[in-house]
Amino acid sequence: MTTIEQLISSCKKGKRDGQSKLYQMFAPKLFGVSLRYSRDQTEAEDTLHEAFVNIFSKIDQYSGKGSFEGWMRRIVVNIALEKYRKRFRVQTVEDVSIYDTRTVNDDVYDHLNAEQLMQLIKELPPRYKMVFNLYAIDGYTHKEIAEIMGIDEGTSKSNLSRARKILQNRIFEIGYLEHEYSR
Amino acid sequence: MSIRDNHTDNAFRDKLQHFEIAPPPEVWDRVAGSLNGRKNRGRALLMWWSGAAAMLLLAFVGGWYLSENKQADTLLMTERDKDSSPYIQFNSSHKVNHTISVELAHPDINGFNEAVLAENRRLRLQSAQKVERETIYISKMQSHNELLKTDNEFVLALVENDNALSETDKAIVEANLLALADKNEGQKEGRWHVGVKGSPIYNFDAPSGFKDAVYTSQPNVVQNNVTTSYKPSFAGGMLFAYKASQRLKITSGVQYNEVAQGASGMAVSFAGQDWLFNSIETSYERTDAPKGSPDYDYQNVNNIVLNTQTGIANVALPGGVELSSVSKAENYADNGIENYDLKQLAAYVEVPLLMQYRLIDKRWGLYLNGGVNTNFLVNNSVQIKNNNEIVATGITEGLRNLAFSSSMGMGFDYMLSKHLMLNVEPTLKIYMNSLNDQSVFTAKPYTFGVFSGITYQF
Repeated sequence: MTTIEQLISSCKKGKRDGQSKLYQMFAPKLFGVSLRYSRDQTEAEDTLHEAFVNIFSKIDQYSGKGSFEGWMRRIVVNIALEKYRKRFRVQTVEDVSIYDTRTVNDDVYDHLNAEQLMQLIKELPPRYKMVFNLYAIDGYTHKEIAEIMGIDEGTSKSNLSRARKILQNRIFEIGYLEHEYSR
Repeated sequence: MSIRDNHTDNAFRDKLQHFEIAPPPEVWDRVAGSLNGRKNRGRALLMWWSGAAAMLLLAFVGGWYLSENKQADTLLMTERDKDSSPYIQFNSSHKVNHTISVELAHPDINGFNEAVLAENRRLRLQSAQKVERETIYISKMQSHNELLKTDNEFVLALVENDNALSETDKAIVEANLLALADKNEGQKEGRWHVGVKGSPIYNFDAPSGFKDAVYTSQPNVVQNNVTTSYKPSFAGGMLFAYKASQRLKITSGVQYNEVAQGASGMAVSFAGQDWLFNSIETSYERTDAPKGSPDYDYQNVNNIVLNTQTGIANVALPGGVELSSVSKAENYADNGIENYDLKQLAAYVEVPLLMQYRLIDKRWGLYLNGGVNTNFLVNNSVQIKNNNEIVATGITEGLRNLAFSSSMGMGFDYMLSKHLMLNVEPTLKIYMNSLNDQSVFTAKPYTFGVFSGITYQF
């Protein structure tokens, strides 16, 4: 059994075999990350491609401290954000104050699978999607988000709050529909 | 953050943080492709750099070898000079087989230094070895690249006569020799110029005219009111030039050049009638002068003389014309005998010696011209013409056979091709000495012409 350290070492030497194994091991996880941040499947694939090229060429820079997976995930996120920045230099933010927050039963989440949640995230306005992904799922702080996205912390917070509202409303709708459907 | 919000975040995090989905297989292909490209790019860069480094090294070593060898040669020559014994002879012409002949010095030369001999022997051997090494080196260089684009004939000679060279190498050497010859040719190109040029010319000085004194010395010169003036004429010829430097050119050649004068509206009458020319008075016979004396010539009563800018025009009248007295009272115009023309010509072969300095040396060129011209008189004639019929001929008296002029001007030229050049040169010439040696005349016309020509460079 090859350990992750051995794989890393092999990749540092530029061995194709090691690279291939590392890819096979982490590509699905990183593709999951990439999909959450990307506009569509094609962009997610591009991001994954670039991320792995970066990973293999910068693997020498991985010090061995901290999670290797975390290091790779950050590379994916950074590339995705780079693409997002290029796409949305000027961004209009959807005013979601019109939405009333509707009460969502906690058990609704239990009925939703990962694919459905991915779909909900995908439907978010781009910046809300980025902020929600970064904060809620990948554990970035508002300060970090503000830095990497070039926005105020306040903006980050309000974006997050609005993202949540949208998601909650969507989930309510789904729950309501499912409730109606199951009746 | 509300509990509900927290719940939302947790729900998404739990289900999505480790969400996995297999990417399409082609993504790996793309990754692998990119990694290959990166690798190849790196390798290509490495190869390029190492190639460049190798070339530099080769060039450096080559230069070092050649200079090293040259130094040895110089040293040997110096030693040879010291005791005036030919130790080594290099035949540097690549036309002739390259030989290194070694001759032993005569041991009985006065003051012969054993140390010098020993040193020479050492250098001699060293030199021979070096030549051998160099030949091998050059043949290797030849088979690798075109580094041997040298003007060092010594090296070329070596290579040319090296039987060790392969046929391919010999062919390359041959090609290089041709290229070198072309290059040398190219350097020489444009050194010599030959061309033709010509221009209508205008002489325009204020006529110095005659002085009263002329009448006293020339008793048969009669006063007249005819005024001749300079007429446009032609100058032109062949020139050759040597380009001394990029900007400086020395020009010489042979040009035809003339000073023409004329008058129209003269009245002449013949055959027993008065022949006139405005208020001309006939000369008189000098029967008292001894034969052979200058004055005797003037006894020819059939000559008329008139003053012009360049001298006294002396015209012999045709046989049968009898000069008689002139009556100013007669109105000859009424008799229809006017409109005879006087044509007076002094023609020269001019040999210029000019310096040309180029201000702009591009396809369009601008230059300054200046220098002196030596003029040899080749034709001196005066004609009285009625339309195209020459009625009487003569000469201008006292014209110098040799006259000098200075010329200055500027020129523009245009390169039509590598060899052909068109040029236009507005030029002003001033005669430095009078065209006439008679002291009463100071004939120094100014001549202006805009010469145009074509020049061939080789």
